[in-house]
Parts: sequence; C-alpha cells; structure tokens
Amino acid sequence: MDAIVKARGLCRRYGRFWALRDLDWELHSGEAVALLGANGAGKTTLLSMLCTLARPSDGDLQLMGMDPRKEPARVRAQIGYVAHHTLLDDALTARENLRYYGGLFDLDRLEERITRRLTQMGLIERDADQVEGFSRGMRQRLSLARALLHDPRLLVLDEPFTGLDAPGCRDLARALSSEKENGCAIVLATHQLAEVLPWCDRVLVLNLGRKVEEDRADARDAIGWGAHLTTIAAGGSNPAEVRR
Amino acid sequence: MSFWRVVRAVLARDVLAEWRRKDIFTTFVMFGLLTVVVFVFAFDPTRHERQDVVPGALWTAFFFAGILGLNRSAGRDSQDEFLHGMITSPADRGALYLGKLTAHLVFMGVGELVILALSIVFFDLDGRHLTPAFFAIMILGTIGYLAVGTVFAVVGQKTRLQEVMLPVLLLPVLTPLLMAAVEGTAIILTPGANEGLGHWIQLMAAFDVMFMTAGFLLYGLVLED
Amino acid sequence: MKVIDKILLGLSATGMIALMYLVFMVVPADRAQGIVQKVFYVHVPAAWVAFTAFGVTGFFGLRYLMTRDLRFDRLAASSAEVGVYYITMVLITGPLWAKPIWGIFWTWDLRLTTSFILWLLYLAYLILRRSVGDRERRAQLSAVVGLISFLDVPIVYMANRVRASQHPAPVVGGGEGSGLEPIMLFTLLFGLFVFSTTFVLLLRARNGQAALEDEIEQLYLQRD
Repeated sequence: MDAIVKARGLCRRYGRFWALRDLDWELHSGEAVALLGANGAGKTTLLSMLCTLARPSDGDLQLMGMDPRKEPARVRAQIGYVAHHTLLDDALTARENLRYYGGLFDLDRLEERITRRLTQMGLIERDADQVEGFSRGMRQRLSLARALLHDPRLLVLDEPFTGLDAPGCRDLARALSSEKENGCAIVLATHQLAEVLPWCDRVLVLNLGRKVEEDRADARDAIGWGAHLTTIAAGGSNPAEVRR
Repeated sequence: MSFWRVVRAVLARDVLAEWRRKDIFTTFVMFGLLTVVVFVFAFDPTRHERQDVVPGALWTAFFFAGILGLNRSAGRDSQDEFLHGMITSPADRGALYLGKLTAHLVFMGVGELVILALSIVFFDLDGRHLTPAFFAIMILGTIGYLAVGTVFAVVGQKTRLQEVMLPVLLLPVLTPLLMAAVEGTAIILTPGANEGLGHWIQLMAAFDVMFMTAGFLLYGLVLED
Repeated sequence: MKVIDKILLGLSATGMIALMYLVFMVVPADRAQGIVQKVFYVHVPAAWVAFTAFGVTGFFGLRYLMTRDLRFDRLAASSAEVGVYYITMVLITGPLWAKPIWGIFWTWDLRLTTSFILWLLYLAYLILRRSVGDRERRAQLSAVVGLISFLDVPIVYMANRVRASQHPAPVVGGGEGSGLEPIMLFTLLFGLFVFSTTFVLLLRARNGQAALEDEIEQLYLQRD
C-alpha cells in the first residue's frame, strides 16, 4: 500500500500562533481517516495543507510520494477537495460546472466522466439546470462529483455533511465508502460521527493544534467517541495523558 | 494541449456566467456612460471646442468603469472561495491568467464599443475619424489596462481595503498608458495632424508586451497564499 | 551600534555639513538663475536616491518571490519607507526652484511628472503593505506589486519624453548639460555621494527595526 500522505513534524502558523504543531501522520490508499477535534483544533489547517491550499510553515509533507512545492501540478491532479463552499458557479448548469473543472484538470472523455459522476450522485436528471436552483444537499453532491471527476487518489473533505439532511448524509457517506472501496484514500473532518465511523478505518484526534490521539475507528462507538472528544477538549489535552 | 484547454475553460466559464448574469457588462457600460455625461456637463460645450474633450472623456470613462468591472469580476471569484477551485487544480497559472484576461477583454471591449457609439451621438463625432488606427489604440489601451488590472484586482481582494485597493494600485501604474491613449486618440481625431502617432502606438505596444509577460509570470503568485 | 553603521553615520554627518558648506560658501551662483539654482544640489541627489531606492524595493521583492526569505521582504519594505521621503523632498524642492525662476509652482514636464508618478507608486506600495495583516501574504503581494510598479518607471519616463517632444513646455532644472563648471560638478557628485551614504544608513536602521519586529512575532510563537 503506497503512502498517499506522509507528514513529519508538520507545522503551520498564522501570525502569532501555531494552528498546527509537530504532526506525524501517514495515510495509505484505500484508507479512510476521520479527523476529529473541537473547532479551532487545527483540522481545517491540516486539510488545507493536504489539498495544497496552504504551505507548511515547517516540517515535511509528501503527497503521493512527491513534494507539493516541487511538483504542484502532478500532485494536484490526484487530489479532490470538498469543503463547506461548493466551488461551483451558480449561474452555470451542473454539466457546465463540471466541464469547467474538466478543462482545468485536462480530462479525457470528459462528457462520459461527467455523466458517470452525475449519475452516481443522483443528479443526472438535473444536469442541464443551473446550480442556482439546487438545494444544499444537491450542491454538496455536485461538489463531490466535481471532486471525483478526475478520479483522485486522495479525497480531502472539510465538514462535507454540514447543511445536509439525514438522507443526504447517508447518500454522501455511501458515495464516499464506495470510493474507498475503489482504492481512494480519504481524510475528512466532521462532527457527524455516526455517519462516518462505520466505514472509516481510523480516527485522528487533534486538540489545540497537536495530534492527541490516533486510533482505530471501531475502538469506540459514536457516543463513546463523542464523550471522549468532549473530555479532550475540556482539558485533558496533554498527549501523554490521553491514551486508551 | 492542456495549456490552451485551461484558457478555453476559464474563458468559457467567465463568458457564460456573465452572459447569464450580465452584471460586469452592465456596471461597465452604465458607469462609463455616466462618466461621459459628466464630462459633457462639466466642460461646458459652449465655451470649449467640444472635440478637445472627447479623447479625455472616453478614456477616463473606460478607466474608471473598468475598475468597477474588474472589482465585480474579482469579487465574484473571491466570494465563496471560488478561487480555491482554481488553486487546487493542476491548471497552469499562466493559462488561468490568459483565460481571465481574454474574458475581461471581451466584456470591456464590447462595453467600450457601446460607450463609443453613444459618445458619437453626444459629441457629434465625425464617423470618418474612426479609422483602423483609432481602433488599434482602443485595443492596445484595453489590453494594457487589463494586463495589469487582472492581476491587481485579485491583489485588492486579498487586502483589508478590498475594492478600494484596486484603483490605488492600478491608476499610478497606468498613467503612461492613459497618456498614450488620450494623446493618440486626440491626434487621430484632429483633422490633418498625424505626427507622432507612431510613437504613442509603439509605447502602448511595448507596455502591453511587458505587462502581459509580467502578469503571465506573476498571476500564480498572487492567487496562492 | 555596529561598526559599519558608525562609519556611515560619521560619513553622512560630516558629509552633509561639508556639502552645505560647499553649496552655500564655495559654489558660485548660477549666472542665469541666481542663488535659487542651488536647490539643484539637493534636488538632484534626492531624485537619484529616490529612483534607486525604488529599484532596490523591486529587486528585493523579486528575491523574496524566488526564495520566500523574509529578510528580502524587509529590505524591500525598508527601502520604500526611506525612499518615499526622498521623493517627497524632490517634489518639495521642485516648486521651490520653479516658482522664483519661472513664476509657476508646478509644470507637467518630463522630470517633475515622472517624479510625481514615482511618488504615487511609492504611496500605493506603502498603502498596500498596511492593508495586509498576514506576514507572508503581505510580503508576497508587495513583491508582485513592487516589481510591476518598478517596471513601470522607465515607461513613465518614455511616455513623458514623447509628450515633451510634442508639447514644448518649460523645463524645470534647465536643459541637459547646461554648462556646469568643475566646482559645480564636483559639488553635485559629492552631494550624490553624501545622499547615498545617508540612504544606506537610514535603510540599515529601518531594516534593523523591521528585523526586530519580525523577531518579536517569532517570540510570541515560541510562547508554548
């Protein structure tokens, strides 16, 4: 299994404070990791470095075995990014949005890919409709279609379930676990533990910018993890203390 | 080649979105026209030779309206972090720049023609003056304007001052271009005088080449953090 | 204070005194323009420094873009902050010179116009720097803007040259090479030297201060 992500001593600062400190972590293909922690723990910071939106302030980061600073285009071609913002143009139709990204990623057989992903996300009926008229759930699904269009080896998701109703969450979770089956490496930050724990392999917990725990997802159930995270955020933030 | 594909993708998206929204174009034409009208009233036509004011009025209108247009365009891309989609893609940054520049050229070019047409009516311009040289100056001036403007518009969005930053940065840099455009247009509109036009056109061409190259190389650095 | 700064301070101080002595006591007044012409010995060196300082800003901005080393950004910023005073001096001494001799405070001739645009470019750069909070982003955006602004200066000069050739107007400062006696030339060159030395002194001082500011930020980081 190749290492999709290799982080050693990864750090990122914003002005006078460290958003992320000394992170050592690896992710392999076909692995799904849930990134957990309170708001401000450093999850978004880590994810933005993984999708090359931000540069590390210190430490070493390898993506797909490459240095994103030396080979940015090759690295980016293999990463799909989903965040709270859909990165879609409301005035364009679903298909036009995907054509735009298909052009940016220089994809072959573009129409085929678009049809395939739209069908997978249950949006094929609305492919010629402007995104403006889409519900939040539909937009998120289209955003995921956008992120998957180029068959990425790494999927980076920052709280993709926000604003989705229960069926929407389930559909999204199902789509993600099926990508994982296909060998995609997935890292996602979320508070929706129940949706992700069933199919995630591991859990990475951050607190105040540091890695506090890394464990198997099935070590606790959703409620167990919820309680555990609350404890961590409330004060047991010393990495040495918080061990199973 | 993937480079031109990116240029086409960016151009297609910008033009398509604008075709549906029409707000950059409308802003540009409305404000440009109003600027021309202000000139008409500010320079009392009974006291000044009307024609003397035309080159200055036109180019002032284009420059100021252009700022509003560029701010709308960059503002829209900044909204909801749309730029992140461009940044996280492998697309060549120079290609992104060319795509944006071309899209802006389309909007501003069409807008300028509209403003020009209306100015012909207001200023009672002689249509025979609209020679190829006249349009050459309009094209060279617009390209130079947008070569720098496309970059600076993104810079502005990343500062606290946002929309206000663009004119502060852009106008000082563009003064030689403005000078050349106005002087060149004045020479063309004045019957009989075609001296020195060549120098102005050369200057504008040099400006365009230099700053398009600079923009092409630097756009990526401005997009990313 | 480091040794080099002490030397620079000594050179600048004594040099400036010597320059003033030369200007007021030694150099003869210009035959045509009289004593007012002596502003020239401040106006020209100030312009020389102002234009060079902007080049320094552009150059170190480029170095920053190539290396992402904040040292270069500090130098670029410091050069701009010091240089803006020199260009302001040019814009003040210009009218001081023009008014008694030509009766006008200002004219849009080649040199004054170019100087004025340079002043605007400086201000835009400095306003930009103040409008960006994030340290690295400020360095990155300033470097790009500084570089583009610097590339613009020769074009501004050329545009004004073309215009000057088409619209004859009074030229503040006399034509090129209008008869400088040896002592005048010497004073001018000496002035260039003293102003340059002072610039380097001030640049180093401002840069040192900037380094301290960045160091303080680093110390905050090391808190935990």
